[in-house]
Amino acid sequence: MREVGKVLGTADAQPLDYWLAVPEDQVVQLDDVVAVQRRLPDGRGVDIYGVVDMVVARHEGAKLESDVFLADRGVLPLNHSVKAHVMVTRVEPEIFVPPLPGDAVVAAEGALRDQALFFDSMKERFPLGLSRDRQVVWGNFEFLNGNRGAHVNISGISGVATKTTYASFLLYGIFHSKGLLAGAEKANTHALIFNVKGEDLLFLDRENVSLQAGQRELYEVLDLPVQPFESVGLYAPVRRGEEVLVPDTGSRTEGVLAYCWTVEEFCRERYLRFLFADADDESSHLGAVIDRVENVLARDTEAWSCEDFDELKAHIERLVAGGVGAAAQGTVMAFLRRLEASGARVGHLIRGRVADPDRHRIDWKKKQVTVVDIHNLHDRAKRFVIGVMLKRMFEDKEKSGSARPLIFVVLDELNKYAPREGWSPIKDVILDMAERGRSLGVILIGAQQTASQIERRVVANSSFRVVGRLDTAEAQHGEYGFLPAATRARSGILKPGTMIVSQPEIPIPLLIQFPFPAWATRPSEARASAAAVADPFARFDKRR
Amino acid sequence: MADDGGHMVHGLLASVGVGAVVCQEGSRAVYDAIRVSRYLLTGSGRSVAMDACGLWFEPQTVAGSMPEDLVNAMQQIMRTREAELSASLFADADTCVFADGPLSYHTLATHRITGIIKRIFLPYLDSEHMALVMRLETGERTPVFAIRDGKYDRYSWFQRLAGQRATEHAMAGIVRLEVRASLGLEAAVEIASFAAPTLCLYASSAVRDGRAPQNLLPVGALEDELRHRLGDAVLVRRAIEQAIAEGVSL
Repeated sequence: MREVGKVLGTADAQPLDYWLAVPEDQVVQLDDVVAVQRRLPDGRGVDIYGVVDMVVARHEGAKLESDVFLADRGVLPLNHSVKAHVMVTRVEPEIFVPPLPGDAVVAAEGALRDQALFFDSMKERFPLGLSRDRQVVWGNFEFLNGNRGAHVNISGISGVATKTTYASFLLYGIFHSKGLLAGAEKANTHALIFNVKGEDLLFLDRENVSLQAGQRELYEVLDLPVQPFESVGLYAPVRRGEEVLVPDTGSRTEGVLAYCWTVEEFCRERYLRFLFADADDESSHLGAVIDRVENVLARDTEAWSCEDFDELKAHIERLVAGGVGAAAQGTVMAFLRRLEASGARVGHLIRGRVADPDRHRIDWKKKQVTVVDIHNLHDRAKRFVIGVMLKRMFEDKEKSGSARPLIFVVLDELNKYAPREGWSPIKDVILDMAERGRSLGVILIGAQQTASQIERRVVANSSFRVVGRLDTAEAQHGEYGFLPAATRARSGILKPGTMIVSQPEIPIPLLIQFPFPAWATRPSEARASAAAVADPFARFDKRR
Repeated sequence: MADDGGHMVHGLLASVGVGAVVCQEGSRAVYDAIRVSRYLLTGSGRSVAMDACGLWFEPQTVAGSMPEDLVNAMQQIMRTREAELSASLFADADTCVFADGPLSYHTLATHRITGIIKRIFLPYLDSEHMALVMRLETGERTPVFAIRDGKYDRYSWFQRLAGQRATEHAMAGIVRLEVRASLGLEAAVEIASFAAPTLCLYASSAVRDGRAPQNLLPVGALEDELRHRLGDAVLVRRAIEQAIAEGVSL
């Protein structure tokens, strides 16, 4: 065991935090994991594990600020002192006594590190990333799979916080960790990813050509293969105004399926409410009108046979004109106004005659990972797609009645869909997922720029809280109370690829780094698939 | 103080620390050779040692029986420790050792030890020459002169460490240095020429030290460090009282 210093006696040592003095020939830095043993009078030893969260250096014996110049000139003898603050993570056995000044503090390596960070007691674990000294930081899968907790919430500034990439790294780790998901369960565990910005997630199945050799070593340390996601289904909205159902994507068309819904499905499954998914749309009167119209449409076979959304809209207008319960004229007008507005944005996703409706229905069970592209849809349409998808999935899980196999839902820009203020049908679904998803096996990996603007219960229900680069003002909000002051300050300077992760068992959040993705995150990184670039000389090789 | 069958025996407990600061061009100043020792001085020729909760007080016998005899003996010990330390510091011929105070206790007459006298009681020079001393600029020195008292013959000079403030006498900022006469005049002049411009670099400022500028920066820092190394006075006193309460026999 390598001694890195001794508990110092000029500051109070407490059962949950203490300072250690670092001798000149040792280096202690932030995030180092350390251990110290306190001997009790009865001969028992108490192991106190912790993580360094502050390191301080100063001149000992200096009285004046300018003494440093005198010391530098060799005139005034001053000593350097380095001390490090340790936040205690674990005390074994649980006898809460402070370490004594003079007790030797050792670097926690190997089994000691596993003890310090509770890795030894994790029955099932998945990689969260690597610490800066390139050792795996594990997450307890029991807190993700619903047994003891569920959900991940990721916050951070757009662009630098790499939230989506981290979310896909987590999925990659879960799907590829050896011994985590086995056999049929592995095959049946799915992920549903909404691609809300750019076309970043449409290349999950392509190798990343920009992957550096050094990064491969990181995958090796994590015991993960270096490869793209193997089983990926890609769905993009149908192109507007075209009879032929082709996906509306820019950089990639090959292998992407176009999705839409039939009018019949829209009516029968009661998707109408998701056209009114703007927060605050739900004045109770309007809600009553929507409910009533939905009820009628669900049984109205005439509506089912409408040729397109415009026709359906006209049908609904006729229905409403005939009177909707006791709704006031103003409410009905509001309903029609919003229907009109939504129709213009979402209408093309609801089609009358579809030759092969199954082909255009998003089926997240076909492939392990299903990416639903919504990035170039209007806000209303985005809400509609998300609302409909989550509702369907939720109902499906409710019907199956079993939490396993799990389904992971990755959704960025949660602040749009589950804002703190106001109410909307999507917020309802997301809240439901946050609160009941744990028992249903629906795990939300949600991300947003600012956790302070999210419905509290969504964040509160997340077992894993992840923070990338944060705006310093944002970091002051109570939602980040789990970050100690020093960590909070650090969140303002995190580089892309570095996150701070808090999980229930470990009392302090850990800083992790995750490797550059082995899958492409933009068209320029994607290696064309083998099918697309057939090797003209392949046959020659074979003959030989 | 203890009573021994009707005789009064005085005792004195003392902790003594000595040390040095090594200043070298181009590197940090560092503390060196810091030693702390503790003594139990006993008058009337007695010898007693004491272990006060782990602090070991060496026995020292003093012939006299009066309290002043003990204090003088303790001063003697301090000076001797200092002299021993100075003698041990000669790493090479280029080393120049500056000792705090006069050279009275430095027995090894041939060592290049320079004593720095901060407070000037005796002028040693006539008033005509003293006028020159007051006119010295920072870094300048007087010519070397000899002090012959038969016992400790030495060469000496005055030099200015720093300019005086408006409220101070012209002698403020002046120190007197001395070396053993046995070193020879040539060596004395060499040391004086080195010391005059060098020591003013180490002059302390009034902000830091009440005895500025004469109490040189390394000396002031060393005093603080030694005081620290002696241990907490309250704790040491408590240990002594406990030991006495438990019983120390003569």
